[in-house]
Amino acid sequence: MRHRKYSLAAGLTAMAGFFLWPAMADAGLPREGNKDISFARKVDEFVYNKLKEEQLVPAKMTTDSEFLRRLSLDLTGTIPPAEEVVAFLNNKDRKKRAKKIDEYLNHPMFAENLAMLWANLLITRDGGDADRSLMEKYLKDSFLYNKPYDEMARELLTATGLSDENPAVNYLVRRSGSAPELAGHSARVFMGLQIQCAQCHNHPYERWTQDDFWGYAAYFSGISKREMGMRGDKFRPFLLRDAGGGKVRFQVRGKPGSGVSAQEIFKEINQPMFLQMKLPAKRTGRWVDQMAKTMTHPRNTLFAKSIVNRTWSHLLGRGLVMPIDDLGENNPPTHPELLESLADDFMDKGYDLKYLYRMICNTRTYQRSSAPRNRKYEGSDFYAYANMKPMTPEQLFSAMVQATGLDGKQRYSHPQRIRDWKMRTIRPFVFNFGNDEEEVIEDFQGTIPQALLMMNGQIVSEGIKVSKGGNLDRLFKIRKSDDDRVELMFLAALSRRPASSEKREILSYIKRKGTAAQKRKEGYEDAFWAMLNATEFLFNH
Amino acid sequence: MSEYIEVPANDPILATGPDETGLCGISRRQFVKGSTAAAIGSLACNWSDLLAAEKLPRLPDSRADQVIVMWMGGGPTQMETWDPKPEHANGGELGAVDTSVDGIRIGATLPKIAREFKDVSVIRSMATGEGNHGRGTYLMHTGYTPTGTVKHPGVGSIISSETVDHQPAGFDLPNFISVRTPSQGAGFLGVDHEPLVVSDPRNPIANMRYNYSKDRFFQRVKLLGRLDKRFAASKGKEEVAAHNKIYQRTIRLIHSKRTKEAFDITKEPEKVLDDYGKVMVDGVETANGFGTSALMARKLLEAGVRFVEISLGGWDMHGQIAMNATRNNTMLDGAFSALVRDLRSRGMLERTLIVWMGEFGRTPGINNNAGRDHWARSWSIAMAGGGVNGGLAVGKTSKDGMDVDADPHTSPDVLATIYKSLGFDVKKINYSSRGRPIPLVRGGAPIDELVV
Repeated sequence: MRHRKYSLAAGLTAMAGFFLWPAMADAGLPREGNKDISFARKVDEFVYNKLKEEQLVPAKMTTDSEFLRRLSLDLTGTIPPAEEVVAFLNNKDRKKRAKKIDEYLNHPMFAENLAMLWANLLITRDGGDADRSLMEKYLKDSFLYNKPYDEMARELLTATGLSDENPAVNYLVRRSGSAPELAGHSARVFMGLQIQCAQCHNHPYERWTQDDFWGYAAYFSGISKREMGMRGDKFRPFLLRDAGGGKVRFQVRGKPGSGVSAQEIFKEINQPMFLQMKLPAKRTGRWVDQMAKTMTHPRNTLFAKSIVNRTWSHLLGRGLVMPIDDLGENNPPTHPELLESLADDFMDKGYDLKYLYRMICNTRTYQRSSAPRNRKYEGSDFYAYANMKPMTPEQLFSAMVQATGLDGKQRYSHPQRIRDWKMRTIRPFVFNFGNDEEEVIEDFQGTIPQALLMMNGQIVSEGIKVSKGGNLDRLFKIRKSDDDRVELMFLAALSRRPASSEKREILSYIKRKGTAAQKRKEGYEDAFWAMLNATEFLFNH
Repeated sequence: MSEYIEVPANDPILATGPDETGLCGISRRQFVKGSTAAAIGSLACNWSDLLAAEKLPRLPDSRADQVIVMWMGGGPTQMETWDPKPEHANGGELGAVDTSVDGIRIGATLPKIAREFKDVSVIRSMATGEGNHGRGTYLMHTGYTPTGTVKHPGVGSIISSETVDHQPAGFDLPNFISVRTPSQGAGFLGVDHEPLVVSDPRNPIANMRYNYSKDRFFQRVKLLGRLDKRFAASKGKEEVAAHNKIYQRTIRLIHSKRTKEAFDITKEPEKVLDDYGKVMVDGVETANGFGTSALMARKLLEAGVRFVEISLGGWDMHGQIAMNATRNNTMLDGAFSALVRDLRSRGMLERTLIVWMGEFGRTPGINNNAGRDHWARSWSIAMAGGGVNGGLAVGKTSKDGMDVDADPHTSPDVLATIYKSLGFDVKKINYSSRGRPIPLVRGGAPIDELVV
């Protein structure tokens, strides 16, 4: 989570990195991602046709402010600095939105943001035995160099070795020791299949039986981990091994209280099966290799559909299938042909993630306003207007840091102490705002501790002060008039210019406070407090 | 149009007294005239005065008014707790101990709660079928398996929602408080019935204070209201409404003296703090965090909160069950028995219902790591307090613990029992935000032995 400074240098560095591209070039995907976004038009067509069918009128497009803030939060995980907002608003280039999308996709913060989200998904926020920073580093590098998604998935599913030497291993380390948990999680995350209920009983309405579940779990049954000796003074790596597996024994569910003896109801499976899917005729290598190949094979459209749905949901606030990791037959998509086509297109483009993000961000659907055309508030399921997304804990924390300029450097100069400060300060955000991290946050989870944190928490109390080396202090040195300063506050907190009535109100509030310098400062601080506590700040709209 | 978030001059939160006749030594009118943060702080008024004046309203047909759920995260073993089988190999190493009720034995590492068994009952025939942590937790809290289409409210939110109209005048605490665990949220019942989650009982409501004048606080709130009003008009009507609700509740909480007392355990006498908060582990005095949560639960009940959930985690003992269960049981035994004794001595036990449960039990057979794995086929929960008949063992498991021999019970049965005890209409139907009927309890009935 870096405090982002707007500069051309960032863009130039990204280009330089292109030429230092490692041997991964063999994978064949351009590091910046495929630039051909013509499919975006098809996407808009699908969406528009559905709107016509449902007799819904699409909302207008986002303003430049709305677009920039939304794009920034979605791709880099934080709001744009005030200077960047001004530059974007003043930019007369008609292609500025497409260029901004490219700029963000090349920024390391995109890779870091995606790495953090995927780490949450793969190993949860606390990490368990897996090491978060190693996992995030592996993921960040994969995203930075635009590793094909299918390749990354295979790496994660088949990794072995030491968790610091082969960091991909951390995914399996998180749940290793429990083949059923690895099975349930991998099916959900990579294929959108909710099979974990079939662990104990045949699924009530989907087609998965216990045999299916345990046949798939058998792939993972040889995986175990061992904690190794200390490295340095804090870190203990794990050694992840695969003893071959392929066999499981499980208890078939009988009716409780029926008196059926336990001995009769255990079953053994000697050969893994991949969830009613056809397998390659001959097995080469380990069982998990076969599993990973089958999982990522183009024939398994669920694999592509799952990532496409997840990415769509990330950007649009709602998956074409909801919940995003339940692509079962009894949970149909809102736009079936669109989902199919997106998956096909993604596979055609070689599982190119940066392309996928670029293409979707360039659609009109993505850039639509979240203000409904009519007051009836229907149609967000069909993207007549954009879905408002509550900020994730990490986004809220980063946005607070960006808006206030309070990034630990006021207190500490040593990078490690600054990192420690960040970990300490983000914790209440995550505890208060984070729910089950494996779920998409659909509803605003407003709670009292969150409100307390935003009203009286340290980062707000310190961050709004004009005299602390924070953002307001810095900005106020650039601009001296009340008028300009009020504008700057809006730009820093809400990424937009104030309406003239808003500006008038705040200016008169500051004036009413008094003429003494201290009183005027209080006026600014009160206004900034209000902006950071406003619903407008809290939501990605 | 008035400010979006407003706190009018006669709002009860600005007074600390429960009524106008000056129970706290100052009339409300006097108070409002000279309101400042300092003035609030200096008034001497506390909840015990209120409690003396007015008991918590009782629902008709109820035998309990308040519930504490002790959530045992990870899937607690039944063999080492409520359903020991020392005569069988599956019973493990720890053995059993007699309770104060003839014919009932429990795990030997729970001696203190064993002595309180006239007020405790166990249900040994839980058969719930969900052996996955997430699903089991959802099932035990809501009575439903997760479907993805509806967000069912948890038991705490249901209780909050059913009792919200029966609270004393001016009651301004959340009705559902959860300590150290997010519990299960309100789903379609909405933000009003989400839990207040306390992450650390020793520092319960962080960020309650601000160090400037109350007037200035409300000026800020007014500015905030203006911004929200504009945002609501352009696009965020529902979001602003939800945000507004929470902020209003929070503002009331910040300014309520009642709150500080309800949450401040440091003012308790040493003896009480020790009883709850300290246990002996291997002859060494050790802090009992779970006990501290239990103490907080008692205080919150005293303040009139209807539902509190506290939690003791670490039960997912796939390895070394004897050692791990002993550790957890020591904490549990200390806290649970302290809570029962404390409530009894305050005359609160009669009208309280305590529920002990986790997401599932653990395998009767011991695995290769000397541990037990997930098991939802035949496991145990416990209930205590006047809300249920005490001293009973409901249901039976087979000699080896693998099967339920009599009276299998499900999560809906448990919830139906709780709701009946509180006097709710067990057949009541709520409606989801899309109009789907969601009964309070589906497919279950109250366990007769416990509530009839």
